[in-house]
Amino acid sequence: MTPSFGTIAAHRFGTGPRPGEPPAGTVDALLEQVTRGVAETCPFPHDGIAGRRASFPAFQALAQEYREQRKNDTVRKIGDRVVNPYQIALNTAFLRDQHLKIGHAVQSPNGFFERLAAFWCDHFAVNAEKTSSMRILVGLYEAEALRPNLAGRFAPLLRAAILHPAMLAYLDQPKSMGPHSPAGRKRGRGLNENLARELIELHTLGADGGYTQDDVRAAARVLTGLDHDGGAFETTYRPNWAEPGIHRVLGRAYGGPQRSLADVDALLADLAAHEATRRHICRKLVVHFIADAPPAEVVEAMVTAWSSTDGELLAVYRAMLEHPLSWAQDGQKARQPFDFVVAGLRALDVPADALAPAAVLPKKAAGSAMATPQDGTPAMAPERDPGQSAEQAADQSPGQAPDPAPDLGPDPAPDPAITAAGASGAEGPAVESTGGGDNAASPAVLAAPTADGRAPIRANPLSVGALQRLGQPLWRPPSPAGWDEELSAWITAAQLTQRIDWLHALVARFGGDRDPRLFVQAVLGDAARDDTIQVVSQAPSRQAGLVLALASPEFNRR
Amino acid sequence: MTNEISRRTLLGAACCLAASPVITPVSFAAVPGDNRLVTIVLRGAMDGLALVQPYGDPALPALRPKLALAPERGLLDLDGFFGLHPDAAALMPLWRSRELGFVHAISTPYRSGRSHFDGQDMLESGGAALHDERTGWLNRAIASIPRSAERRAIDVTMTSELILTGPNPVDVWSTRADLDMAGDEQMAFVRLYRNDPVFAAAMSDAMDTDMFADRIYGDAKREAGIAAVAKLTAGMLSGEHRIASFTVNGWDTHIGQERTFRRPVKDLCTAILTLKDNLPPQVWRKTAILAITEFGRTARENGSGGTDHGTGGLAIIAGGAVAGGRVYGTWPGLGGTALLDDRDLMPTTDLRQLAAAMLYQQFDVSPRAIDDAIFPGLTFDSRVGYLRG
Repeated sequence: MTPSFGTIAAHRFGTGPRPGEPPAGTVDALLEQVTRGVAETCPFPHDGIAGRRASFPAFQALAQEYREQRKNDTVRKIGDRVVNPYQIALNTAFLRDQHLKIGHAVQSPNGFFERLAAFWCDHFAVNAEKTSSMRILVGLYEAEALRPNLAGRFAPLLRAAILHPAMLAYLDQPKSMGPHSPAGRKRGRGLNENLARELIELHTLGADGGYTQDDVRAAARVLTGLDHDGGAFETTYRPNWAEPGIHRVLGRAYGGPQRSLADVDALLADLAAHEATRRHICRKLVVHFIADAPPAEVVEAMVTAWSSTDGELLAVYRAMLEHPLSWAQDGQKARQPFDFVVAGLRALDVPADALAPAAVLPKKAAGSAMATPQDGTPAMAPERDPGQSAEQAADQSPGQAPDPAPDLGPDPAPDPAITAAGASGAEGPAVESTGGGDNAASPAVLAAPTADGRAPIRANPLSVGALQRLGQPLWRPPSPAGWDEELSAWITAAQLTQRIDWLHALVARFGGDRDPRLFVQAVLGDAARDDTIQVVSQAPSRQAGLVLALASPEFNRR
Repeated sequence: MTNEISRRTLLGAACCLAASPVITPVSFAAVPGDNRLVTIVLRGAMDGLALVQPYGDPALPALRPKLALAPERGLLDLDGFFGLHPDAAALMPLWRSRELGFVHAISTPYRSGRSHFDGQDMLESGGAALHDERTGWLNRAIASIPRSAERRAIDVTMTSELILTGPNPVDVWSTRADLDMAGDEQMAFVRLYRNDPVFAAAMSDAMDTDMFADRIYGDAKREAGIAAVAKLTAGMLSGEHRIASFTVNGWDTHIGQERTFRRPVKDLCTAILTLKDNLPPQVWRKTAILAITEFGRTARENGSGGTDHGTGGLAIIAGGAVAGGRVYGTWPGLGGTALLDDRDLMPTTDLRQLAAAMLYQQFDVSPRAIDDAIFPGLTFDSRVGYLRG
């Protein structure tokens, strides 16, 4: 039996049901979520788009200050630990952005829009660990380049993504210079092909799109001149970096005696309009939403919609949603960790203030024999492990992700581990809630270290920390190709182990006195299988029943 | 196993909290015999010309004014022509005891695309061309190993790695995963998943592997990092597993290579040395480690003190079973027209030949199985051996 429209809409195309939120009943209702989502103010960066941009000079000043401390050998040390206020400010801002992103996905009634935002974020992947400053750029990038452009045509979305400083930095464009450009000659610098290659292979035509290495090289020449202002993170075009001459990409000529940003625009427009691009992206959408082996009919319907509207994304989404085969498949996709965590938090209606970052207060005395939850390094992936120098930390290359510190140190009692915020009486002595009102919380732009020189907040193990443990840390995809899509990549023994572990913690705190039998109905509706209904109703405890419902195949598939 | 429950009750909270996203999953397979093979996939394209530098090639300094070293600038001489990067100095004792060797100017058949994704796909699938094979060559090899018994299939990982992915039984585990629940709840999970084969298999594997991993760690705290991965691997290889694979990341050194190269090299050294330290001597003697990367990097350094995607690269072989103390391969030279496309080290050894030789010598895999099933399109040359005996 195929589940109802509302059930499939919530699970396959949305972020899962949430008590009190009416499910979308029509395709139009799903598409309205997209237009509403585009129009809303993005809750991250935590200081707003303008606020984040206004804070860049303060970050610069901290970086400069720290450089001088290093030069003068006046860096603050606590034991062997170097206190780098610049890194702490970056980490803190990055953490706050992450918490707001998850919190927003949990609260938002526009589930299809949130899913699309995740899809495009993955399609135009950037990684927060590429350089230090990427941590304050990734949230900004999603907020200003991607989200506002998800209901328009593909071409402006492509342009906004590719020309954003976060993308330029991630794919090394500021390191690329035309070897025959004035600047390239003077400095002996040359091409870096990264952005050109990924632009063609991943963002537009696709790996089978019928291009050659020569096209990639030529595109790299066309892209020379693109850079961003190092401190203000504004995209700039530097004509004296641009490789002079005419460069042919896929048979079309770009450039001339006078190079300009118009050459880049022309290349992006042509790539956006290329036949291979629409096929590549429509197929990717179907793979993401419907099946690892995408039904060709759905892809074709979307390609047709794309062609007849010059890439209007709403028309492309509509073609997918209106195709009967999009509703006929039964749960062939895995919920990826982000979606799983968001859907679980929604199912249990976890309140916003429980999803705030956890505050870190200074430890009372050093050298305590008792392990406290703060004995581990604070829970930021970008925090360095003790063996890594500040120099390494300052400019990290992709793929060099340090092993993130554990979210919490060893703690024999399970409860404090999930008590991040909210119930202030229950935490360990040095952790307290920062509350939910993150935007208005602090008058200071940048976070100051705690008195003992650590980041003032750490990851909430229920949300941001959970994603790290589940192998899908926010804004840190493994490569420019983004995250794996296949069910087999996500439904594995270790993944199940971690999901069940997280569910235990979640249910212990937020399960309340729910009746597991009613909970199964509310969350899975007519998608609930007999096995699940039976096992949940016979579960050894109320908590086990809730865990089993959320660990069920139908909740982890979609 | 009677103390299993109580120990886990104690450890449960600590273990479960600790797992991390960049933990490398380790894949394992159990096959008959005493010989072991560990593959380490060096993702991001390791610069072979930096790790094992042909300082005797007169063209090197001009191609790499900043990056080229020489024995008088810290390079560790290997054989009078090649030298080892000083960041890998920890491996020199293995070189001297002939338990470490290299194969230079090696590459898969992948040419000219220079994409990490495609390059790794070729490296792990073992196809003659891109997208020829959808499963991993090491997985296909399992089916060709004589007397390879049916084993339980276990796939316990955050994300599976292509090299050991396929229809043949493979165990995968990450260093911090831990299943912590009472018996009645476990039974409920078995019933919950009984009609969904994917979930049922994952759960059954989770329960089995969890028990075994618990025994390796004992009461020690579970850790992240490459040393923990290698330790877990050594534990598994000391038991019934004979094939293992894991990843060392971080080799995509486009910028500031002098600095960015350091960390992955250190991780690689740690991986190899931790394996040696944690394997009993009689097991180490039968172990071959093969570290491979998707392609090499440009012969010239680029404008940002790094190197870009190239072609010919380097493979590292280590372990008590290898015939080390040698740099294998045919050196194509760097000068004049020797470079491929005037930019890359010209490959002179097909990486599949090296991998095939390992399978042939370690596991008696027949040349025919190699040519037909494991590396379709290859004509395996069994005359070149990289292992002792």
